[in-house]
Amino acid sequence: MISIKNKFKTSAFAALAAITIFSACNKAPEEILGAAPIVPSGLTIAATLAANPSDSLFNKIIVKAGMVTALSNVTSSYTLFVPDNAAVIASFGGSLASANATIAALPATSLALIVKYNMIPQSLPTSKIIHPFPNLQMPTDIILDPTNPLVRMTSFPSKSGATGTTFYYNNAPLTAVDAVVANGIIHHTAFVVSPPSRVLKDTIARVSNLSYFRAAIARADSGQVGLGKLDSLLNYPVVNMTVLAPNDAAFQTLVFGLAFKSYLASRPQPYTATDTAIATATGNGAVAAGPVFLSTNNVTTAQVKGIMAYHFLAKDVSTNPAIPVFQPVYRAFSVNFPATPIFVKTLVNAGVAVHPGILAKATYAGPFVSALTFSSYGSLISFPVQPPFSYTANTVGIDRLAVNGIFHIIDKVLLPQ
Amino acid sequence: MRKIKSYLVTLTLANLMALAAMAQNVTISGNVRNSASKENASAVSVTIKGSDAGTFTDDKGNFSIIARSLPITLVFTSIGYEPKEVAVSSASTKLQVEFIPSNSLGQEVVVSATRVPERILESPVSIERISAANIRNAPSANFYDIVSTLKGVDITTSSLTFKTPTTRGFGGSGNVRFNQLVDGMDNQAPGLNFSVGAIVGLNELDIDNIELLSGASSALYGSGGMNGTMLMTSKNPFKYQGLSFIIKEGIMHTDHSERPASLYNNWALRWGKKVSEKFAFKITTELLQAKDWIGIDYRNYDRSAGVLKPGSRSTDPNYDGINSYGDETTADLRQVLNGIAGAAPFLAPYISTLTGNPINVSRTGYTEKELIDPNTINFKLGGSLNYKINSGTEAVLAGYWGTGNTIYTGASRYSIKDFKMGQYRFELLNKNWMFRAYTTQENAGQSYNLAATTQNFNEAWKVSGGSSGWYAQYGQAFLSYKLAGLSDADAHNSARAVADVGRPKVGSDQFNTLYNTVRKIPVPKGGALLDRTDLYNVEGSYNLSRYTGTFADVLVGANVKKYVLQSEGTLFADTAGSISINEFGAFAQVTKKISDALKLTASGRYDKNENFDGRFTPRVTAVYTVAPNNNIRLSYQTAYRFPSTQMQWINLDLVSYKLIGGNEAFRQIYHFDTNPAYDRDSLRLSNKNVKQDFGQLKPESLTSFELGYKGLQLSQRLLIDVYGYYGQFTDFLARRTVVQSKTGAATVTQADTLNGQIYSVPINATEKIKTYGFGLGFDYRLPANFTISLNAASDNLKQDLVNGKSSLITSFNSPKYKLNASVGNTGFGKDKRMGFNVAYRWQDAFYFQGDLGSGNVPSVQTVDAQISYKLPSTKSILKLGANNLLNQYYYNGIGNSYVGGLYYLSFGYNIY
Repeated sequence: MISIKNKFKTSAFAALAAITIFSACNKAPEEILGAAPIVPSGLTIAATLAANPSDSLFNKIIVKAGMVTALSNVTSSYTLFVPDNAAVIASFGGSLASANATIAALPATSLALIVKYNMIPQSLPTSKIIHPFPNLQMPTDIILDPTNPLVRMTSFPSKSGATGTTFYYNNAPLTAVDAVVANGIIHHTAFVVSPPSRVLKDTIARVSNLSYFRAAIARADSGQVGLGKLDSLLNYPVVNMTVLAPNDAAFQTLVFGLAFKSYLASRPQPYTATDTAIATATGNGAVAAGPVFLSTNNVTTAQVKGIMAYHFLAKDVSTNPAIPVFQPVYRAFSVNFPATPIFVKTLVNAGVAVHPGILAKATYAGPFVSALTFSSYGSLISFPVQPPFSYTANTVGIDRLAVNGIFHIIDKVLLPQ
Repeated sequence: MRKIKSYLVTLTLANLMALAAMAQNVTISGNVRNSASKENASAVSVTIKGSDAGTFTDDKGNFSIIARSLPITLVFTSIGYEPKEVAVSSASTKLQVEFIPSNSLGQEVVVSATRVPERILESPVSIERISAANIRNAPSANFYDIVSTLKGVDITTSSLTFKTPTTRGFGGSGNVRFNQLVDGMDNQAPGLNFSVGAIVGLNELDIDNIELLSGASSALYGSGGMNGTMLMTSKNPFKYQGLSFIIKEGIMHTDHSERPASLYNNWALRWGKKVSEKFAFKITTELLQAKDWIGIDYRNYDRSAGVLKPGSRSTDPNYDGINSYGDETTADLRQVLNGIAGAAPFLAPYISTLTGNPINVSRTGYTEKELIDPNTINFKLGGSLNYKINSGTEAVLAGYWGTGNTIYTGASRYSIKDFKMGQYRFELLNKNWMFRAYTTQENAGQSYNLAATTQNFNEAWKVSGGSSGWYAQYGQAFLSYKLAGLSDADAHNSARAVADVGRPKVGSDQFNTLYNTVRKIPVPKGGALLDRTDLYNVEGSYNLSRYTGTFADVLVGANVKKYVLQSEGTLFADTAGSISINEFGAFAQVTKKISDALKLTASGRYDKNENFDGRFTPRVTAVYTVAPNNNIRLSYQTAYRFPSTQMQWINLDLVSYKLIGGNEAFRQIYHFDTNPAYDRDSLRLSNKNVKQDFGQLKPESLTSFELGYKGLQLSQRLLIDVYGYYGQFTDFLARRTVVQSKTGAATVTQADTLNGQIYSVPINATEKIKTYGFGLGFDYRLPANFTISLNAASDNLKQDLVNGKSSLITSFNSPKYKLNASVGNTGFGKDKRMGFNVAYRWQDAFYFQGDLGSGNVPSVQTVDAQISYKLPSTKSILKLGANNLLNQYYYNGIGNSYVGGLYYLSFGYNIY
């Protein structure tokens, strides 16, 4: 019996030991691991540029601007538009020496703005540069309002050009694209894309041969308040507009024509030589009066307002096709206009939705625009009767960039009717 | 009133006459003790052979019994002893009876299998029994844990005091397919639909026995019991007398993984007193206090698909942790971002590059550990007044009341706080008939839903919507960080930090004040449940065998049941007033002994609920005795259940979705006729609009076949119990998630799976649901009181698959295999005072489906052990025990508490 008991005790303890071992392995709820996050490998943007001799000038800019840390952060993601050395030289004086001198001369803050303006805070391969006319508006690393980091200066990558197959950053053709690095993508630009520093109003105010244009804006704004005034829009930093600004000569032509026609309209036909001479003198007098002509009762506010509205490009932002709402909400660089003429709407469409707009056409020399024309529906020349869109303005000042838009200086005042 | 008076007069006269008669009788007194240990044997049945007269020994083993004349023969019987007959020819001397302990197996008598007493070996269906002695010798600190060691039993552990058993599948914290009866009373909280036997009911000192019927058992016990019925029977104060108490002091959380080590305090007391041969009473009480186990499953959960998913708070902005609350609130950030794009057109193109796909973001949650009050308290108070109207009839007035805090797992985790429930019964017991009336009075107290409370707490701190709300702040910050070049993950985490600035810190006055305010506000604005549902039941049975015995034994019975739902609209659709639900049922059972070897039993039951068609459930069983103490059983059983009170009338807004009942009234309440609801999964996965039909629900039924063998082998030292079963459900009751357009549209789109109104609705499955399995158990008595037990079981589900996938959430929740093994001794060493028991349990891994979460539950192994020392002079036991001896934390349901070791030392006085 004792033997049995001892055997049993031995067995029991053996069993206890066995289950002790077995039971020491209950599992706790463990986090389910999904696909492991992809750890970026390779060089960062900053390291890539530092390692590439052909980017040494822009790398110098980055270093001086104090942007190496930001562009070395492997957990961030940027697209950087980089002018290679040739592009920097072309933009900064035409020689390596002048380029270095320019870089040395510019303060770090200015260089930082250049770098930041060429940074888009996400990885943007060219395959994602998909957009309707004119381009893709993307935020840069420049914060316009220090109290609100969402308010950023924007830039405009696009797939445009003569055949619609060339990539641009603003109006700078991309010379090499889609270099994927650890923290983003590098595209190379044909020249240094610098950020604007002024709004349209300020920029236009600094152009001497746009005095008539400014006077016309002031006249058109009569009775308007707030952002209903074109002047306010031109001064508002977070809008995005394309303005066609006729130069003074264009306005003088318009003023002459209006005064000339106005006098003749008071005379019985057929006009005599005297009538024509007086009309010419009247026209010259009106031109001699300068921009103030547009402030007088020689023209009505409605006339000026209609003409000015015709120079602000617009598009329908309504979600209801039956009730279009046209607003000046895009920025069209010259390279965004195709070689095949297209109609673009204007603020005239805000009042007359069916108005055909302006016929725009770009002529290309390689990736660059050599000529940009805009044809209006109406014409200053009434005899013989001109067909619509035969009255064409040439761009004499192209791609004038501002914080809140772009303007092209044209040599004729476009008439909506 | 006049009738009562005349009854009392008659009763008094009858007693006086009885007293007069007693004067002429002979009183025999004596003492019974264990022949081996010389300990007094209490609660031993003492009857006069050939008569109805009988009594029990008291806690000191003494008895006295009155005989009309001498000589007589006294019969002494008790479980664990050999029956003994003693001839008495003189009353002049006190009898000293030496009661010989029995080591034989299978001699226990069970009642629940057929509602009439019979040896467990001869039961026609699978049945398990736990005696008071089993409880004494088990290592489990809580007698509910012993149930898990029974063959084929699965336990779902919500918390320390909330354990829910089941057999043959369909386990869960609120298991409505498994009945728990305490002294014949349904222990289910009638409104909350979970049984609260561990909280309100018997304390371990008052348990006479627990019988567990595996599988279908409606034919005798009515609605429910699809997967078994557990019947807990308390000790009768006539039989079990004296003062008993047990003090259990333990320690938990010894590894400090959930919280610092804390005490486990459990004190129980029972006092039974036979005042006279006619009257006895008992009082029981128990207090338990401990720091509860908590849920620590922080895995990420996809609530729309009902599956666990990769990710954590730092890697998934839409993280929704199982045991993290408040993060159920989710929204698509694109709404905010698109708003920004509208206000700032210069950002619109950039934003459009971010919003190609939904950007779902959840509010920041709090963990269960941060939210739950871990202080589990349970106080039970019970008692009965027992009066023997005559030698064959006993009246019982009894009540069990309990209150406390615990944690329950349902659609969320619930802090059951200051919960109160009382069960009160009046009973007349006769050997031939029984009448019982009882009521269950439930009060949810300050119970609250953790998820709803925390979601509303978050809203109370900072609203989700609006231009300055949490999501607006998050969205603007997210965009800012994206514009700063951050990755999505970093931008999300940084944005969350911005939106969470000022978030109340756990434990701060701000947190406590706000949380305590919100949890007391009824859902859906807060988290409180105000349930005060009641149940009233009257039932009776009559054994006609004395009239029909020559042909067959016949038992008939009936019951009437009434639920009164009262939740003030916080749980049920009862804002207009209480809702009543009436049921009635009747049964009959015929038992015929065809020969000495074959006994057939046929029974049938008809039940009717006012909201459903009536249902007849037959049962036929056969027991064939192949040899003495060796029986083969075969049964065909049916079971059914009416949809629970919640399945009929629940109307619970859980913020993320609404849990509603199947009563036709909901069609009008939620306008389903004009604004239909559609199956969400069909919409989400296949973009198909499958309209939900809100037809009348039907009761669920189960047809089951079982073949088993129970017998003694190896000179009756080995008890073998083997069974196999197969069951098929009809009109299986389940839930389905549907979606309704919030705009009132007649159809829905895929976007509505996120933006629409989500409902969980009860349905009758059309799919075939089948279950099958087997169990086998061996109990072996070794020499010198050593015992060894081994049981194993397997439960399986077979259901229709559509395209290789289950189209129905069945919540089968049963491991395919499970095994229990134990070795013990109830008396060894000097004077056989030492005892020990070591129990090992293993269960297979299985896929758990629950309203809170679904996922794989890994296999679990636990070891429980105890060593004890008896103090015979006071019939006391010192016990040193451990549950989960190796402190190997485990969980047996998704979202449930993570259970570790409990080590205790107990002293029980007068407990054997």
